[in-house]
Amino acid sequence: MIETIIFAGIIIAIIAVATFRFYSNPKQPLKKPEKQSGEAVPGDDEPLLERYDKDQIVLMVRDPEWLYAYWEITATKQKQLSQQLGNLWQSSSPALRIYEVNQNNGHNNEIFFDIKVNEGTRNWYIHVGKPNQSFFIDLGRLLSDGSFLPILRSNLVTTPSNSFSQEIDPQWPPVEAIWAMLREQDYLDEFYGSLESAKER
Amino acid sequence: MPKGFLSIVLHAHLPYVRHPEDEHFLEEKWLYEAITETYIPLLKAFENLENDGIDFRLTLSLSPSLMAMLTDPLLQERYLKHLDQIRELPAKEAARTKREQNELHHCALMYQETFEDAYKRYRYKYDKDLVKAFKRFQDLGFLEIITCAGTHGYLPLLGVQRGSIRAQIKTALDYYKKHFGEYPQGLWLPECGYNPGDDWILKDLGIKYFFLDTHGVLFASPRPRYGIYAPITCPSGVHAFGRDTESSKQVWSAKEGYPGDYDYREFYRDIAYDLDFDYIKPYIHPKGIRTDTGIKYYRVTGNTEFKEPYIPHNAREKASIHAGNFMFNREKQIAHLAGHMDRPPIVVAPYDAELFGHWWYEGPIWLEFLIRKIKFDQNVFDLATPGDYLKIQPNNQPCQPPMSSWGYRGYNEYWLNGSNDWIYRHLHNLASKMSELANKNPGSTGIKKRALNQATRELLLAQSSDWAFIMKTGTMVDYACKRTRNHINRFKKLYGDIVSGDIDEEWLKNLEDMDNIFPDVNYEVYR
Repeated sequence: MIETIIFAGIIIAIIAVATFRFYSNPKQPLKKPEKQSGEAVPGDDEPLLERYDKDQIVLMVRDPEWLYAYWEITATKQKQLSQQLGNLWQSSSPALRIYEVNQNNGHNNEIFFDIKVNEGTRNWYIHVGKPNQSFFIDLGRLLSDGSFLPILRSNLVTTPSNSFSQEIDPQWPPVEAIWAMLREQDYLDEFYGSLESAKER
Repeated sequence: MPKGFLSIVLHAHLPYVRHPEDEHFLEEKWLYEAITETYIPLLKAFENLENDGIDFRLTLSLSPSLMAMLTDPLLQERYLKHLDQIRELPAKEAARTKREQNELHHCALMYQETFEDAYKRYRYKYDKDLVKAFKRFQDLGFLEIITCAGTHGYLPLLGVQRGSIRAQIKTALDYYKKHFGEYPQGLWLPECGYNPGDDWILKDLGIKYFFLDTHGVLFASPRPRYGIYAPITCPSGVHAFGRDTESSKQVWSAKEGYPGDYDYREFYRDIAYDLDFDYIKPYIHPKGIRTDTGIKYYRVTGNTEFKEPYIPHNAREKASIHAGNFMFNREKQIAHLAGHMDRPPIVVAPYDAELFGHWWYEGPIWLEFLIRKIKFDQNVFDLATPGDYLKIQPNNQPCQPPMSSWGYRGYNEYWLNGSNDWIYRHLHNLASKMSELANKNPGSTGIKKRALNQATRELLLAQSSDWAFIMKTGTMVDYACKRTRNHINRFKKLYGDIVSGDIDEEWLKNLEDMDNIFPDVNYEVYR
């Protein structure tokens, strides 16, 4: 499963790079779209460019264990960085630095781990394996001396819980007879949520 | 006084599949099938109950995109034309089966009657407006009709921009109000997808409750005293009702559910695939693609390729038995729960409406039997909507539910995986651009306003959770990708035109006719 996702990620990344190269001619004049055969509206079936000329990294939650991030570094930013770093840029490699946000233990943000990603990759699934935990990430470069140069910072996300809360409100103590019954049910084993899944039987 | 309540919730939704450019657009058939097999049979069941003086309380969620299609004149005409044409088929089939396959003749007559009845009802009784037909039952006090997000956007994955959630919900509520005169009390979150904090947006818009899947309530913090058998109150004050596992399983489950019963109609044996091509040709897609006609002569029979003829009488009997069984189980369950609770328990049983009739052919009759039995054969529980329950029991436990959905594995995975993750970069960036447009152009008028409103429609249509869902299921993927791409491209051109001040009016007019959902949408919802 994980392999499949990573593999899919790599394939997408390859396509993304190819698409980027193909369409990265920056000052292409905006042509009035012409209707191609089969298009209901002219310009409808133009391939989508994976760039918005915006330096950004966006972090999303897939489930209690996994996050997903996509990002874009504009050509301008890339050029600026490579000029700034000179030779260091050539020997550096892109990486994600995942931070945990812990508000309760005095110091706020702890580095959780780094992931090296491929040059040109624009999205990644991140296994954090921690429900009920807030995270953000930096996209940056790992330099040859081992240091990390942050470039972009993501939004903050929180993974959901995947178990019963240990917190009890004394005014609302759980009814044990009900909870005994609920514990026996396999509510996370089968899903009846969508008609299409029901049809797949 | 009943010991507790059963709350049946039907969520009716189809993505906006309106294609004026092609009269025989394949995906519009989703709507036609749902009308003939689900919406009309449900209305018929409600009418039977009304005529027999049996009052009931059900919750029906009508998605805005479905309401928009059900009230669209072009689609209404197309459906009527489709029905008028296809109703010839059961008449022919009645004659053919009598001659050639007498064992199916009885069933052919049933379809003849059903199609004729659907035609008469749709054309004359409902005057082509099913939203109005459902509204009548709300006015009579039998239904509590609610709605969901505008285009069924999957909110937990759009929520990076809070504006997208607000726009999805506000547009939906305004559209609901146009049909029903006021905002609904409750909201169906698409796919039960919830993210902490989204309830504040509901609160702000006057919504009192929404639904979560079972674990969405059970994993809330602090631990809910009554599990899923009483609503919990989110920090915003909006109430969340959790789905009951037992009643869900009896209807949904592939292994244990009622719809798999051997006497029930087999979904996959449509005559479109069985009969001679020349004979069936006028009733399938003009390009010769065999598409379901709705006439299916066989029953589930068993775990076998060989299928026995469907016997309507036996299926009806079975639906009655299953309704009795469902009621019996709820009686036991509610009596047991009531014995341990200091307030009346509520068992919430939500289903996709299209399960009833379209997929589970006997579903609407089962529901009708169930309502009759609840009224006459027991006195343990009553039917109630969440709105009814909150009137009786307005004070509920304060809890914070976690992010959850009723999709595969319970969170966001079905809508965020290798098959569909590419869409979010576009959806999020478009939402940012939309906010930018709305903030830079307040109070626009004339053609600029039209372009801004159309950009809002294109963004909403691109956000429909159905596209990501279809990409994951693996069938009709090209269509879902094309729809996503088309709406994104349309938006981008609108954005470019608005920013440059050079709006292509002819092109805009074409778009307004094509993507005509929410005629009164206001782009300032994105401010």
